[in-house]
Amino acid sequence: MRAPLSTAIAIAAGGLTLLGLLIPVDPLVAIRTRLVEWVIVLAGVAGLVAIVHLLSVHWRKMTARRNKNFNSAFLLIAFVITFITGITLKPSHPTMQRIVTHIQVPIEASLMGVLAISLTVAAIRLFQKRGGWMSIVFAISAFVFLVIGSGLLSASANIPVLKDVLAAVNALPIAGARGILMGVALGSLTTGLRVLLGSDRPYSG
Amino acid sequence: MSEIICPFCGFANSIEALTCSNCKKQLYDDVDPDSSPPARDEMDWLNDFRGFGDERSAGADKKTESIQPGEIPSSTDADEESDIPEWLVRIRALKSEDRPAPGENETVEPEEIPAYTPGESELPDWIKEIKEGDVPAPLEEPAGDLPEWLRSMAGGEEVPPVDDISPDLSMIMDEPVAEGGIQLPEIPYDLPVETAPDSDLDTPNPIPAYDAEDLVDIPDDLFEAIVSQPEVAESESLPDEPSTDAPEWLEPKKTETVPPDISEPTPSDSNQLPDWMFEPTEADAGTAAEPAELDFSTLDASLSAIGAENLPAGQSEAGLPDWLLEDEAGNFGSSAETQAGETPNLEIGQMPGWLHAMRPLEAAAPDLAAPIDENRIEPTGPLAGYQGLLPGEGVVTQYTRPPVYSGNTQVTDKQRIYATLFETLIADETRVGAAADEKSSTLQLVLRMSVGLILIGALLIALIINPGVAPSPNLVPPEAVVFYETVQTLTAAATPPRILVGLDYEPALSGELSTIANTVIQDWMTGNSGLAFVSLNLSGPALSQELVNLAGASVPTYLTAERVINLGYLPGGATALAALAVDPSRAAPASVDGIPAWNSLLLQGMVSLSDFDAIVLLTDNTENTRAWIEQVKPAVEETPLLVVSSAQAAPALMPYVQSGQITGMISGFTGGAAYEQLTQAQNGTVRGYWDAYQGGMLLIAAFMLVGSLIYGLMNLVRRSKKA
Repeated sequence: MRAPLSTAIAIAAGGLTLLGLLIPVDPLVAIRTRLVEWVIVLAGVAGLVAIVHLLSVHWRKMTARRNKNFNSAFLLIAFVITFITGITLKPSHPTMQRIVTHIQVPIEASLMGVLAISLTVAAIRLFQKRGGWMSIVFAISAFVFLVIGSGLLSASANIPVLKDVLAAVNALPIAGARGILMGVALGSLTTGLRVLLGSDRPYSG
Repeated sequence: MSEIICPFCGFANSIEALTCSNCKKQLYDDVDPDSSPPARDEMDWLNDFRGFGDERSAGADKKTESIQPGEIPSSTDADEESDIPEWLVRIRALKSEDRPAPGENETVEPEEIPAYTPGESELPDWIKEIKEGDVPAPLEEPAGDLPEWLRSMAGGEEVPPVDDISPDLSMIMDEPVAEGGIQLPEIPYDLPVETAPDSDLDTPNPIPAYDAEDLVDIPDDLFEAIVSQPEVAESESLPDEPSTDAPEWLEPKKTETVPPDISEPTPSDSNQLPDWMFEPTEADAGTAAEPAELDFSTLDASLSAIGAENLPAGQSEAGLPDWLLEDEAGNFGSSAETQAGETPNLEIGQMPGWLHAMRPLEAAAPDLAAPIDENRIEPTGPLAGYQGLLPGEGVVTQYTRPPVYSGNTQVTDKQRIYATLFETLIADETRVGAAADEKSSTLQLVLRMSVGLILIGALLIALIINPGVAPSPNLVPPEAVVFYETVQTLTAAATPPRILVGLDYEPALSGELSTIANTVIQDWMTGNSGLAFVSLNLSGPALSQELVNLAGASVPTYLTAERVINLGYLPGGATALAALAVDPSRAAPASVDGIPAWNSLLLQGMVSLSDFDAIVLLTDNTENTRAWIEQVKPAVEETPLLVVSSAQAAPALMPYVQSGQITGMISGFTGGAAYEQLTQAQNGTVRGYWDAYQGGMLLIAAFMLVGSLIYGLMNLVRRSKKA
């Protein structure tokens, strides 16, 4: 067995946390609370490690002897400015708010717009290159949900059958979502059991 | 004390003498006279190693000392001579007549001595009696078959003292006889004492192990004859003539003998030689040799020189002294005992698991095939007293591992067809075809640019002009209605509610979510609700501050500094939510400004999340929303959980709405518009984007419809042309 100590620690921690959840007695709850707090601290440290790693990667790219990436310099400069501002002014300061709302939000929103256009083009290409019933069904479903999502039909409550039709159409994505959620739940349960039983040891490398 | 017998005159010399004191001839042919013989004390280890008793050596020494040159040792002792039978005296007389004088035959080699094969008329009476009675007599090994060194040890043709004449069966035969001789069966080692009363059992003269078959094959009359016969010397043993009347098992074996021309290796260093090596190589008639004094090195050298592997087994054993045969027999016996009872000092082999599993059932549970005792009476149990029951212990207590079957799935033809079809579908999906050559003509480029410009222009016009032509939704989702009612109920209470707002969306989607949530936050602020923001996103604290600022601008009477607190970012995802559900004061102890949050006026006296009047979650992430539902909702119990989600996350959250885990939900612009429709907000933020939103969606749908129609018509025309 690889990493028996890590496996034992993982199983013990998971078991105690599970017992603290299922059996709400004071000792177990105290242990569970303490373990969860440790996880939170570790997660925060992991975030710092990720930031340091990101900086080191871009530093290497910027200082590489070949194929230098000068765009990394912008990232490093922006990080230094944001870090100093956040430490000194706190997140609630108007300057910090403007950094977020005037730089970060537009950039990410633009990326989302590009993503939407890319998905639309991909759908059109799919429709052009691969015909057949599936493409036709996809195009029809996209058209229908665009119209429903626009709220145009919601204003036509006087039409007798339309309400039931809209309810039936809106139930279709919910049915698919239920299947996805059930699969996710089973997968989560299986993953938890595998970790608790030691058959899955992602921490052992 | 050992002495050296002169090979020429037979005089007993001192062990340290190099020349005979009687005939003055050199005692050793290959020894430098100047070199001194080895000290006697140096050879004590050999005697200790052999384990021979000193008594025998002492006795032999005494006998040797009493031997005089030219005398037969047996005849020198008057007492012994009186005990010698008559036939032995005759044989010795004949022998002495045939033997040349010592001085006449100085260089006689043992190999040159012809075998003593007397004729029928020369046979002694007792042998004739035996032959007449068809009783095989013991026969001695011909002298020519023995190597020189062994012959010297065995005593050659000497006659043992009368005291030693006893039915020493080991001397009779334990090896095949040369041609012309009679082979006697091997005598068992453990003969009863009565059969050999005078045998010298104390002497290390053992007999090799015998097989039981050999013992059985000895006829009784022969055995009695052998036992009753006194001990004879080799030179006086039976003639080598085969007896024609002998039974078949007494027929001489055609064994290979050692070629007589094989020279014995001589030790190169005489100083290393033991004492017995300095004794005369040819047994003198009047000298009693010491068969017990052997040298292992000489024996090994002899065997290696003649090629022991080429010798037959019997002949090889014949070259070994009796005590060595005893050692071998003892070893054989001990090895047999080891095999039978003891565990040898060997590593126990481990049977592989797969081989263990492949064992037959009989090997794993041999008792299963045991015969059933029909007379057995059941002693215990409910069937006690019955006879002839089938025993169940063997079956119950012994079981084997279930057989391992192959994991290969037996697939039917129909299943194989389906699998092939499914594989084809997957392959088509994953196959990346060659990129088609872009035939982007000017017309297509203009078309694409036109579509983009039309969309951008339409959206800009709708946002700028905001004509308000888009009808508000009249059909309001039920979850939005519940959401609205919950907010109205809480804000209408006498005590201002305290709301925990979880902000969990990316800045990329803040345009949608902040617009939808703005109206909700305004309503909470209108009811003077206390708002505590917490985020699972790194940019969440900044986004929540922006949201508060945007909503607070519409409600100027709301005291944001007193009624709003930002608990910041919670690292750890679902784990952080679990900790927050158990003890929020430990999970988020301070605000983003570093102020102890739970000592503030807003959160004072709160110890758990259930103390909040409601939890509002602003999210675009399905997984984080599930974590909220799984970790936080059980802790807050009856506290309503309200969700404002993006349009893309709504279908995945609807099951939780239907199950009641989410109290109410507003999703997307449609849900926001429905909520504003319920609140009758005149200047709702959603309403300001509603025309552009609805117009853009319908325009995209129109483009899709028109494009599909045009593409379909073009294909029809192309096909008709081809036809």
